[in-house]
Amino acid sequence: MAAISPHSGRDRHGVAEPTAPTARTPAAEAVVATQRLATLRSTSARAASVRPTSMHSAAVLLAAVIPALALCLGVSPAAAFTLTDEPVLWWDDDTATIPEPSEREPNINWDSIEDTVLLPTDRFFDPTRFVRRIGTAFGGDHVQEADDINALGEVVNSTWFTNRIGLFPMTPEEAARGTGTGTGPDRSGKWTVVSAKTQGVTPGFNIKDAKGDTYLIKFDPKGYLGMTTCAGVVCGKILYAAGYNVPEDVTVRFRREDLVLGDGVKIKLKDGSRRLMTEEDIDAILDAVDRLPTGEWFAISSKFLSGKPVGPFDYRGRRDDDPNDRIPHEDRRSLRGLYLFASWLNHFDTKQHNSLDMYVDEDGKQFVKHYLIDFASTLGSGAKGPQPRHGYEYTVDFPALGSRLFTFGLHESAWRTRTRPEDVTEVGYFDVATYDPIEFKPLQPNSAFANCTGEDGYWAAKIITAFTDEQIDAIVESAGYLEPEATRLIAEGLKGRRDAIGRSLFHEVPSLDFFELAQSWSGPEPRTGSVVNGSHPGGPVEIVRFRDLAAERNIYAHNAPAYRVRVAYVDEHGSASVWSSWRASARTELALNAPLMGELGQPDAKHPFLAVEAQVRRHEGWSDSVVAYLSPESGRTLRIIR
Amino acid sequence: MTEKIERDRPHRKWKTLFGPSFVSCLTSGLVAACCLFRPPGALAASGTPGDGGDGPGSQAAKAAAEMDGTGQSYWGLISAPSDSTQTEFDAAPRPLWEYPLLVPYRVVEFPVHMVTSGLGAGYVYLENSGFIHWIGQLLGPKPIPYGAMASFKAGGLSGFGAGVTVFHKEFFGPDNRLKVRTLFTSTGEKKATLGTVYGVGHDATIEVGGGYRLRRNSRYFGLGPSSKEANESFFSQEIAWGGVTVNQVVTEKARIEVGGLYSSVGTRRPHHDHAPALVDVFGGSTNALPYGYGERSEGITWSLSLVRDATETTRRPESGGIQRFRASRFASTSDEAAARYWSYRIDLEQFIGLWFTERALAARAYLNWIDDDRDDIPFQRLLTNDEPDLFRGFRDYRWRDVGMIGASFEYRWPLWVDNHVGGVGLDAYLLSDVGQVFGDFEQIIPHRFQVSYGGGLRVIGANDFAGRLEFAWSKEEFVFRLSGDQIFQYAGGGLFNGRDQSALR
Repeated sequence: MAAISPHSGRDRHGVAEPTAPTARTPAAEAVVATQRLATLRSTSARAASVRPTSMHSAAVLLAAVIPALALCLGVSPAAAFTLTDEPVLWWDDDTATIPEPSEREPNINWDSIEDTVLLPTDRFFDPTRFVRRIGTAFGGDHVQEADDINALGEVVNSTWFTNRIGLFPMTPEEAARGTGTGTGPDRSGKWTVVSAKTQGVTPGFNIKDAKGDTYLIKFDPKGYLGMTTCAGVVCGKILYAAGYNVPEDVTVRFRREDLVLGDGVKIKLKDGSRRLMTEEDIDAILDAVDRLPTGEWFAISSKFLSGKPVGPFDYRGRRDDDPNDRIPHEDRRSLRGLYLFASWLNHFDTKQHNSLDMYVDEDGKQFVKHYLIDFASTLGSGAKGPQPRHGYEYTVDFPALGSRLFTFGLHESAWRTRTRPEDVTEVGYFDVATYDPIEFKPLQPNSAFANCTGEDGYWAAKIITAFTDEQIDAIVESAGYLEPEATRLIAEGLKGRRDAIGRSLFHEVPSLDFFELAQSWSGPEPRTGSVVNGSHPGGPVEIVRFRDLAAERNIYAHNAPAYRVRVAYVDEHGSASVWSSWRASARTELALNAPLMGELGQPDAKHPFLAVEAQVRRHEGWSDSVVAYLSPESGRTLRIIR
Repeated sequence: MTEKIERDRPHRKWKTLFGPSFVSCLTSGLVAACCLFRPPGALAASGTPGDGGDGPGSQAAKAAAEMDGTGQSYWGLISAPSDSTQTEFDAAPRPLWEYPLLVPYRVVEFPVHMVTSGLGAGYVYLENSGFIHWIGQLLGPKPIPYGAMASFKAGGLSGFGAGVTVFHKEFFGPDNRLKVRTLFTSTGEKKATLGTVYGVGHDATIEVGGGYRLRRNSRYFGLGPSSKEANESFFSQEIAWGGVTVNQVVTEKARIEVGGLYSSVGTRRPHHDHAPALVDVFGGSTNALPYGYGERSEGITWSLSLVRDATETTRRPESGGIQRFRASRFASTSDEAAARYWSYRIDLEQFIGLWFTERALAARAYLNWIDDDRDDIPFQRLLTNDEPDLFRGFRDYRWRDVGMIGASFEYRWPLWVDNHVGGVGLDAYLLSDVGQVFGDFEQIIPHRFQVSYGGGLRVIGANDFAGRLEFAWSKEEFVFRLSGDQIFQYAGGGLFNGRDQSALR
């Protein structure tokens, strides 16, 4: 029986591969196991992962049905992947010089209608999604795998995303610094007001500092001094540390005398007309917002991005006038996984208008760089003050409406029971008690979020749980909350929600990661000692080492995980003729000693690669497998299959 | 030109080495070579990630500190973009099995796609042209105290109707209000009213108003609780009224209303669209026609009302109630369809909060009666099931007599709110109405009670209840209604709001 690729007939990078016989090998099982990583919202898939091994028969059934369907349609199933001993790709070459794109100006109201009604309807009736959705009951994914990832499942560096805390060590100070200098507008001179924002929920204006840099100055909603401004800074720094492109946001304090009105500045009136701005207009803007007891104003300063703005990016499709934009945005793991970041931060206002494409000139090349902007509506805050429903329902949430209609009020929505510390004005609805990471909903459905699979979610969870308590404390501290209790509550909320994400996603996808070939110096002689079966002091031992992120990051308290690992020599398609027996241990290492390797026989030219299949047991049975393919020759880790 | 990803192909098409990334490649290439191109067996334990505490080397540490995606990562060294680690990532093609499913779907969906695209383009055009902004300014809230609003009505006898309401919140004074309403419906109904309220100090207001209403499809089934559905007939009813009401607040929750109203109610054959005519069904003999048919009943009604209203809001009340007692005296001012009678009304409402948030039971009971014989009162002045005393599930005007008793219940729960508990939103409710008309109190018998059931949606505005959409059914009918009024907390100010004054409510 041929194994079916979870990537639907293409390799992880999108290249269609020829058919390959992969009789029911462990590698094939692992491939099928990845199909169990169903959509994040699929409760059936969640239930399936509780008893992972029991789903093999169902997965095999699916593997039989889909080829049958494919054969009926005259399509032969394709192979899963092809292994080659080459360096892993880490960069998407999307910085080629392009002509300046035109500025996108999507209509915010129609965009909302599209996102809320039209696109979800299209997704609902799309027959391919329907077939895949059925497949989630058997462990499949409801959409194709993301396209902006390498063989290790990592998002590659690009104009969209830069790997940072997920793959690199970072000090709390670095995390708290964020992008840029992290110091905000220059204070050596007065700030010149160059334009004003009188429309919208909260007023603000743009200033130019002594260095000539331009900043947007925005204020908190009345009665909630520090709430949105500090939240914006915290989330900007977190998203930057995670890898996204964001503007430099810091909180600032200033006095009226720090501001001067620029020459010829015009203000837009409510009737749409414009006139020259006056000092009284600045006073009127400042009078409309709260100020500190010291008489200073407290605001967020957001530095203008370098380059030329060319409008927001859509979470669906591609930018027609950007040849570098080759991957549909809804198929980018960086945007699909943003769902989990939005969930963590309660960043409910993720409409496309809170993104911005900049046409930049870097290293002599002109290309488009993609930014996330405006994080004021996060951490339980909102432009109109804290609202408990945000993050729990779409603005118009038809499934929730239908559910409430037909349950006749006998079920209480979780958000209706939420509370906030009324005596801490800077903290909105940002609790852990009612938080379910995969039930998060932004203001309107998001095409990229709708495609978020278990693997996309795992990728995001891996980054989110990489934030240590110290880093979170440093980031929140740097935002400049006015009340110490607010600093504590926001940090505790972030930590609690981070752990909830880890528990939820690492339960779906085993958090065994960063497989590598290495040497251990604890064995008395190479290839004779077994780390798994006990310590053997003495000489070096070649080992396979991996990390259990959940254990390292203390996601499951009071849990002593056990691991079992087996290995095989495999061919370029991951097929093995002989697998070793399982080796169980409490350690995340497996010594490639003589008894173990003896089970495999001698490697041959047709089976040059080493497959390592690992599982973890925490509270229940063994988890799904994670299979790493390594090259003994070069020492490279070539591919990870979850 | 897009270069496909060839990561796994045996013969990789390498990009030119001497590209812009060459210099950066050189800076990190040596380090990369050490780790990525290790000879067999040279698996270094150093330089690999530990439990979050890896010690990056000098170059790697510098790169990582710059957070530019290069440096010693948990997967080993990630060097600056080079030909060996960079390519143009592209979208994956769809698997072939999807096309037989997708192509027919896209063909079928294409017209819908075109329509929605057209709608979108039209909307954007209207918004960019300023039209939507203009409409919003015209109909939406304004800083000025006057404006106009479109109003709609559907269901009941009205069919579908639309009109305009013009209002002024500071009509010759900050405490004065003006409201002019018009309504035209698909069943030929015409209505125009003008109402004003003047604040006169000492917690008192004076309401002055008048109006005209022509209804071409008023129904008549006969009198009494046993009237037959099969006897449905139609007539035109034309009403004109004008009057004054003085409203004096007595306590925080209680008030007294004293009013004087002139009204004229005439009847005649219905529009030919509405058959059979009353005269055709009940005109077999002169005595069978109801008293007052074909005549105009004119007269003055004096009324006194005592009202206690302990509700805080009309949006989602969960406590409090309303008690209302009214006595009125009608006396004809002409000999045509002459009558003189007292009438009384008792109306009790109570709101009870239930479980969770905003679940509430609204209960209402009422009793109306005219203290005279039905044969001495023009039938157009008799009590009938009309707002707010609807027997939802029955046709409007289905029952008619000198007395009316009924009760209504609504179980309400929230469906949608704008952001927070209590906000603008939409509530659902289940309803049940029970009641009957009667000619004398001895006719009030439980087995004659008419029962109807239904459900609906209540629209909650920023300050008040804003409208309702409901369905109700009974043994006779299934009735749909869309209305800006509700039968609970039925808005007072009948003259100001342009209520039909044919029978006092």
